[in-house]
Amino acid sequence: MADCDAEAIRAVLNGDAERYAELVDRYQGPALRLAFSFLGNYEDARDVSQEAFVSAYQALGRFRASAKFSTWLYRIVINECKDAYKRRARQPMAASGLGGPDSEEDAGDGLFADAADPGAGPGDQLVARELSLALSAAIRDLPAQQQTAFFLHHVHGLPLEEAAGVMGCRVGTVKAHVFRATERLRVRLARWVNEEGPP
Amino acid sequence: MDFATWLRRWLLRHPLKEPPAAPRATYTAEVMRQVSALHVPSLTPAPRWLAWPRLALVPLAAGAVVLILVGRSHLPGGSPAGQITADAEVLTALGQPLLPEPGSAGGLEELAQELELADALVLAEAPPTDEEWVAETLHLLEELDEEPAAGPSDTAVPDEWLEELELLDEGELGASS
Repeated sequence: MADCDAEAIRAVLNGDAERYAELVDRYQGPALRLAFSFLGNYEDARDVSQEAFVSAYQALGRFRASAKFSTWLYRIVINECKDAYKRRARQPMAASGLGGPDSEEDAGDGLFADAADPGAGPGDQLVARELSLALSAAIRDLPAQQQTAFFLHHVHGLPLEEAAGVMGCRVGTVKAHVFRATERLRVRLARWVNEEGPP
Repeated sequence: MDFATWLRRWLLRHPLKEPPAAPRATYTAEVMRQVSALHVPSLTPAPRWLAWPRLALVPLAAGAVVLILVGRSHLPGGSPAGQITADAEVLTALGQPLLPEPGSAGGLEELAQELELADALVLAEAPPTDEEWVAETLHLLEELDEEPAAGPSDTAVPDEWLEELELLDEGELGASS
């Protein structure tokens, strides 16, 4: 994958701009999901992730082959999400999303899918949905660095090393952010946690 | 079950919501439409302001080290070997002889005489030894008809001695003048 990325990047830098479509096609899914996790709706996430691809194209000459293109792109996506946050904050009646108030009612539909468990009864599904909303709201209230580390490592499954590359910090720092984020979530979700396991 | 494990299990069962179904080609085409309006990027070299200070600092640091070493070797308070070398250079420049040759007996005798003379001068200027000081003190006590102190623990007597010695000195000075 990295070799394919490097080859496409070399081609673009040599004047074959159409080869950039390969990179967009390959990474649009992860970039879109990453933006969604920060912004809370796919409409904004689509715009922001596309802006990230355009920014990456403009800065492609500064990309170093020693890094992974995905790591570099994810960093740009996160920066674009931060810019989108700021734009939203400047708008008085901003659309609902991750920049919204603290209450769980304002969390929209939550970030997480319902469990695809055909045996689950209506009661279980309701509990799962409430928990999804509570967790989404609790993640939204995390400090920015903890939120980013938690998303990258726990939600998007990036290894700690790659998450550190995206965040531009040490692996130990990412570990600390993930640990603190988990502790905060534990306090917020205490009433949902039981020995039987998650619903 | 600890919370971290519980949370991981929950996230496995409830992954992030999937984006609404939309053709991937549409997304890519939209990006490429924006990209096509831009200039084709080209490889930019690393900024020179990042590279040149480090390269320039190497000869600067080396030059500074050489200057410090040379400066230290020419300081007056340098090593004894350096001082001897410097003194020898000055003497040679002034046409003065250096140390006598090891084989020349005359030079050595002159040097020995100079050293004895210097020792004699130092001895003449040396302060009196303890024995002489004690003898003088006892002599003064005899003149004053005083008994010497009983021991070092007697602290009142030395003060009286000092006062009397000062009075005696003043009397002698007055008589001599």
